[in-house]
Amino acid sequence: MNNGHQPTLTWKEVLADKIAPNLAEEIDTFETQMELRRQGTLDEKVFAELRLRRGAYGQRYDNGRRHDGEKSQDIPFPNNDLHKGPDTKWEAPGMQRIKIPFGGINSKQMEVLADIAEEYSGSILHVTTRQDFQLHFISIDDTPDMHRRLAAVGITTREACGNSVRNVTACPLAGVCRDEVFDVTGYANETAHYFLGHRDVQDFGRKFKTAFSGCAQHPCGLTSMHDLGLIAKTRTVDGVEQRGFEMHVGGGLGAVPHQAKLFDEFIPAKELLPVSQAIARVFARLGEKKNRNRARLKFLVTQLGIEEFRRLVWAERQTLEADPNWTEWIDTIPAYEETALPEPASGEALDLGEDFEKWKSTNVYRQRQAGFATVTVALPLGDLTSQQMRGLAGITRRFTRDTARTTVEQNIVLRWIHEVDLPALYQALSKIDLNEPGAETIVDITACPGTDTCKLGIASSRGLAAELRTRLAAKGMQYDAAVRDLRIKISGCFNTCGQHTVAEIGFFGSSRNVKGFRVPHFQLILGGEWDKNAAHYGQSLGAIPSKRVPEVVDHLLEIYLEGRQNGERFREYITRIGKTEIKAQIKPFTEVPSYNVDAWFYADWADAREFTIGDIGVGECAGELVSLTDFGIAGAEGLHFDAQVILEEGHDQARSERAAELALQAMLSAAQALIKVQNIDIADDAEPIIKEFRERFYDTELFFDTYAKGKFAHYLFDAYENRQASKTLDDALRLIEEAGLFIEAAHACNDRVQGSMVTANRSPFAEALAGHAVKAVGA
Amino acid sequence: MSIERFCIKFFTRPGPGLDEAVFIDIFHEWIRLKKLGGILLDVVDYRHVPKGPGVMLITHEINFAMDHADGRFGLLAQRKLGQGRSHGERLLELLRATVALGAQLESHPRIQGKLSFEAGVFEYISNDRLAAPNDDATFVALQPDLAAAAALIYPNRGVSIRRVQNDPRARLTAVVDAGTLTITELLETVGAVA
Repeated sequence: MNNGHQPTLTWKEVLADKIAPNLAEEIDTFETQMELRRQGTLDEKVFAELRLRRGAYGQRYDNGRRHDGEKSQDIPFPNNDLHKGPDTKWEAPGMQRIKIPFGGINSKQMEVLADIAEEYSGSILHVTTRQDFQLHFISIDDTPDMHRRLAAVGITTREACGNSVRNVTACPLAGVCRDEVFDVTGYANETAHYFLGHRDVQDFGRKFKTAFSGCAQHPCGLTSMHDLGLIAKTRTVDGVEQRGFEMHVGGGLGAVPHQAKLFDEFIPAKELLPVSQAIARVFARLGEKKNRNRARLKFLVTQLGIEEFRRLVWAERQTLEADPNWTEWIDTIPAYEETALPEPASGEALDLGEDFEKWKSTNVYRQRQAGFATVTVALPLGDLTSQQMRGLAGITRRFTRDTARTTVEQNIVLRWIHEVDLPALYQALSKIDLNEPGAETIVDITACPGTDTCKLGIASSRGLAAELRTRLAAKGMQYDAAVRDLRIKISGCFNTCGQHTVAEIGFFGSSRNVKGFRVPHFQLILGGEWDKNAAHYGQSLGAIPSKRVPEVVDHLLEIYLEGRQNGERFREYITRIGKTEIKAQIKPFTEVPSYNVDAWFYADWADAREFTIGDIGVGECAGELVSLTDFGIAGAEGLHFDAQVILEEGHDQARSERAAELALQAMLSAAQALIKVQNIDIADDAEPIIKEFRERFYDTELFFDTYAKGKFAHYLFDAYENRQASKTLDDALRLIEEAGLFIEAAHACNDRVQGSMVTANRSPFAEALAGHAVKAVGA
Repeated sequence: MSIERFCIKFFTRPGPGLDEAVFIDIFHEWIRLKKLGGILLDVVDYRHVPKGPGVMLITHEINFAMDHADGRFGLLAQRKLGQGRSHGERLLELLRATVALGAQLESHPRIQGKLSFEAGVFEYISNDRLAAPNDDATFVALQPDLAAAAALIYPNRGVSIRRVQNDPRARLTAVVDAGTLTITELLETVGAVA
């Protein structure tokens, strides 16, 4: 086809004068690295880190294998020997993460995002829990052009992934919040750009996450769960108000969540970057590099103690060569202030009925600037189409001074809306189906990608989230004042990308062996606190079969509404009634019908395949040993639960010590249960258990998780080694978390050791499932 | 000028309600049984997105979607790569693959007559804003290939090809209309085309 256009134009040529030279050079360099990898002259491990630092991530099945529900199949990519990383096929679809510092985007950027989603992906854009965008099913061959098109509108994907400073997030209400101390937008943006490619952040052993909050009491910034958390603060010195930040370090979720520690009550604005740089240098120098499972800053802060960490940072600060970039930008902060359009875009008084009123009751926030509102565009599971994005770009231009922000709750907000424009805005959003009510309520469920696309996913977080969302919305829960503000967050595994630990009701994916069949489950996490910058992390209450989770949520809400006293909040109610009672309440929902009765439970949400973990197949039954081990692991779970209950009763030193002791006993019990498969006479004493566990399960790597490797085994070894040391409350809580994960790993190991039972009369899974019909979302 | 990326879409006839969850079952089954040509990769569920791609079958060469864009339900095929030295050859290849999938879908026992495609009409969407921007010149350049493909798959039928007037920021879209035809009838013709 010849359409009269120049036939050989490339995006590189077309955009040559639109991309900053340094960005253009980076992309060219990456393109060269890709070619060197194709030729085999660039090591695949090195290339993997290089592409991660361009935000080009792997995706599920990129090792070239996929379980089809009956067996693992090899995916016959044409060039199977070409890799983009260890065990990662070049031609396998990947994911592109696109950083959006503080979540700020304009309409032109939205349009380019829409274009590249259509041309390189499946026309769906996904907002993440760190204010990024993600596109899935990307070919790595398309990434240089994608990066050029983004760079041309001021977006870089550099250091979106990898061992780097990740996206710097900030409250989406910065600048318009009724409670903020001051607008943190400019500080967040300058921090992001200062550290982009900075030499002192190139040698981290792991990722580094930074968040800014305008206040201490609301959750928008989530500073307590970040490596570096900054909360806006002012002080008056000699009659002059100074801006600064309360600085927190060493927070993080992941498999074992850590609350950040207070680094300093007040860091003046001019010290924000140098002190942050000093922290980065200490992290780069002293942080763990070999064991990736212990390489986050939180482990270094815990290991050193906050006092020593602080001392080291201040000492490092003194060595830094002065950099004008630390402060040159401070006088430009006022330029970050946003304002509204001088006149309303429409101002038309429209009678839009009950739907508009309902939407207003949940999606509109009255700004501190009188007469203006911030509107949250609720995106189902954080997704929108390219067409919707283009429509939203037009709406952004029409109703604002061309800015919008993504949020960590996977939505987009439009700020500075004239209140008289709300009806017209609602009407415009309705035309592109972005008028869903219930933003930031119980129906606005956060979920990580999970088994949809993530290599680490264990169960379908998005499938479950879609189901819950539909059910709760059908009941109008987003309008019930008692429960509307609860947060439900779901992760596909223990790695907390869905932020389940800071939700009032959280779930993370897991698996259980039920009479020889694997069944998808979710661990129930209760007691998290979204408020106060994620001040409290929830704890696990046990595993629920995935298909029974909606019933559990219904039941928890029901007993809360019936049993709450004096208007107590959900977290207060849970704390008051206690874990023992909750366990008893959810116990009936932990049962799963046998496979032959209802095979529906043996597949995950929105997936027709019989549930599996990775490529591990179904083996033969190991006889009596199976039941002894199952019994032992169940005993371990009991001890684990007891440890949690002890701390419910109080937080004094004696209880902390006892809870820590029980956590260790739980791990020993699980380890002993596994050993019994090979040595039925294993003693009850700790020392032989540790010895034999190490020999039989750790040295042989039998206990190793595919991706976490031996991490969970080390929880037991470290706990035993430090058993005599005095335990603080933090220690006890950490050991309880680790014990829970060790027990999870013991379940998984047990599955691998035993295999699954195959009954003589088992019908093909697909037939069994068809007979019961896959239950659709909302059906 | 050579376009690698483009889409086609066959719309469905109005019919009895269909629970789209069934596509999840069917696509997983097809991957397991290797029912289609190409390298079948995965199934993705976007039913929660209004007017979105619905349930998708991802293959190495083509993304298939039970698509609801603009509120019109149909089978969308998004070409990513494949055989064919010219745009015309690639278009035919995509049409063959899409018609084959559509026919299999329509006749699947789990569908049971609840899905029927308007096979005499398809939408063509260029998916490369650099090589084929949304303008008259592109449409004029596209027409011969669309006409040639239509002549092959809709022999002895009057065919109209018109450009869809859409958002200039969107992709160039054209409709090829050969009247009423079932997908089974189209499959016979497409299968016979070399």
